[in-house]
Amino acid sequence: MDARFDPLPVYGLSVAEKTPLLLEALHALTLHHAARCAPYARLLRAFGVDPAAQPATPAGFLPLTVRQFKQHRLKSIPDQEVFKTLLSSGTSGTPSVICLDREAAAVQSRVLVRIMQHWLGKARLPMLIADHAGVIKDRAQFSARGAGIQGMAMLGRDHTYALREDMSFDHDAVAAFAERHSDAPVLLFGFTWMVWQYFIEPLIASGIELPGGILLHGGGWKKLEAQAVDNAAFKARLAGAGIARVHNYYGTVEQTGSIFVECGHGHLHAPVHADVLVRDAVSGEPAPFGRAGVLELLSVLPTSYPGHVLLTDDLGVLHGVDDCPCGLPGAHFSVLGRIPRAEARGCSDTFEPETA
Amino acid sequence: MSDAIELIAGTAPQSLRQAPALAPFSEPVLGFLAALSAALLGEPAWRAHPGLVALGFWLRPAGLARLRAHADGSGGGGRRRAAGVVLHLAPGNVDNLFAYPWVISLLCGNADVIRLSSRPSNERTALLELIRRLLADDAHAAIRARCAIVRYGHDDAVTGELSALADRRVIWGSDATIAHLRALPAPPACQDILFPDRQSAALLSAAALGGAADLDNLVEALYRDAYTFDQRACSSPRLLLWLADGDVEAARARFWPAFADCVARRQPVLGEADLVDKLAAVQSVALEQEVVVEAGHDRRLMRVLLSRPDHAVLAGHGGAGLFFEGIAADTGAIGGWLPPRTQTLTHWGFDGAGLDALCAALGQDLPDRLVPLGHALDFDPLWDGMDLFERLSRQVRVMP
Repeated sequence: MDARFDPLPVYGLSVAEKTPLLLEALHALTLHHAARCAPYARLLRAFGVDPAAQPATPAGFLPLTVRQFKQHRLKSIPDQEVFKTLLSSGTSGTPSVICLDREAAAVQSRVLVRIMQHWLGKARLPMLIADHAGVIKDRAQFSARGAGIQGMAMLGRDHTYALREDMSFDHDAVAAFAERHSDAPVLLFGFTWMVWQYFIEPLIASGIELPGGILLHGGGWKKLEAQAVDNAAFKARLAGAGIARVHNYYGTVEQTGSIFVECGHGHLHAPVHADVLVRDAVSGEPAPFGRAGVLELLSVLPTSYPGHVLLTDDLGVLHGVDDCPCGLPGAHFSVLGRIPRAEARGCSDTFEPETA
Repeated sequence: MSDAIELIAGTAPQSLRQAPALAPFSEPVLGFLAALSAALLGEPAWRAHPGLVALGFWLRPAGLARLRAHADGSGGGGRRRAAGVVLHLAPGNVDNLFAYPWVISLLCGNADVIRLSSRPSNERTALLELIRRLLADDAHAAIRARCAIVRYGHDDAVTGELSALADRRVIWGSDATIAHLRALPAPPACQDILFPDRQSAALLSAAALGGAADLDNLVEALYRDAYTFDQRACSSPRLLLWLADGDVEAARARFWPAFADCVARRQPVLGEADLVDKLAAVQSVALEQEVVVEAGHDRRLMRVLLSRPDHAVLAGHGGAGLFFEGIAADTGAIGGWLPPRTQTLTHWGFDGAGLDALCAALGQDLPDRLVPLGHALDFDPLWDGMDLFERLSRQVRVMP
């Protein structure tokens, strides 16, 4: 990562202060990847982008659609330097493959910790994980859930899994954890779906109290949408369990290190080494504040693979910059979910045995 | 027969065999089709559905006369008789495509079972409303007695029962659908008529685009061919080929801005998912091979100039306003650009002699249709290389 970002406070810069640094860093990364990743260089040529020319605004960089990591092995390091491979959870078959070298993996961890320490404080908190211990089995290749937990584990201590391998609530383990840390802040961590489906109801039913609990959850709302549960309903149920501090976070395995955390006002915030754009799908131009569009993520972290400017498959809305009621500077936004898929047209798809 | 079948119009499938036999091009059928055409063209409400207007136009008196002339000229000198009962397993997503083979089948004297998709379609709903209304009229009782328009879930048992009644099955793609459905048993005498996945292209003569060529008609024609059905029909052109019989660069420089203006004017409605899918498809190609991408300030039109023929990229094309572009140095080079079993090649700037030369050059690989630009989606009794009148009827040899 560009060294100038290291000492910066995680939410310390206004947009005016951050943007020049971001532009230079992204430009340097574009040149870096163009020189080392032949397919990426080919892509730039195809779109008529000269990597040597620095765009005037962040929107001037060509975003790579995240889907490419499912279809192509894109990296800017030789095979022997690949230290860690991340795989997306891929609901639709093929996962994305993200290659990190040692340095990239280390930077990613460091940045994650710095971001989370802003919300949790410097001290490592006792950590209760809404998952089972088996989810981080294979250390060579991490699934999104395993990667998320392993990454967050650094923030905590006395790591305790709330579920057994069969997904049932481990009452004894949770009760003991609550007992050990009855008066202190504790970190509760899990994927949104896991928390909702396997953790919260048994917790309420158990009567175990976690008044110092700060819940950090991420991984998307898609499954909850199917049950008509939105963020408000989710928070309300958690309040019912006495968990008052809840922070959703948004991130994507294709841009590790870009973690956007939800503030008390309910908006996601870009940390100093990342930024966010919302693009109008028809014009490709940045959408005005308040207008929904396709979410684009920019980050100065990806050095081992060309993931510094990515167009996601998610819709989002940028609320503003430097003006969130919570007081944090920078861009603040909301994710609206996956881009809704319309029916395919044309002669195909007449018959799909799995979908009635 | 299973209760799972919903009868939308007509009569129960099991009763079709009791319908009195009709000769090809019988009065009751012609009367019904004339009424259908008049209704489709006459009612202002249907004008919102271009597909319905197209069907109405196809069924107008001159259109029916053309079908008659075609039928009279085909069949190899035999006498035509109905095949019997025809089962149509309609495509899910091209609204009213099922209606065309159904019309031909009626004109052959058949009785038809048509299984429609459950996917919502305003245009199809409108057509069914109209058909139901016409069939309720006793003037069309003979047609009511010989058609069963049904809907049911993906139920192989029901399809099997219906297949057991059939003398012909018309099965539309996808390829996976065809593989599945054709494997369901049917009587030995039942013949399957299959419409698998196909691809289509447009061929423009660079020479013909010089000077004061009629650019307006040209762009409108390509727009019509491509953007109807969001470019996802088998006949939709996804590859645009230039024949370099003149200054290709000048032709392209004239053509594309005019076409972009047309798209901007027509404002096709394409969802975010379509547009992002399209961008992703283009980027995937651009990562792997040297291409030139043109994606201006309107993502509803994107084009990728290929440096060499590539059939695989066309397979990955999802429609929604994306053109792969190629330049064929001469007539002999055109064949290499076309994917195997290209269905429709629309042409612009070719006269009779030019088309003859093209046919000669393409030889065995001649696509199933070589029609003028703007007519890619016009249905024709010669479809996918088959004469549907011949396929949907029996040709009887009578010798004294």
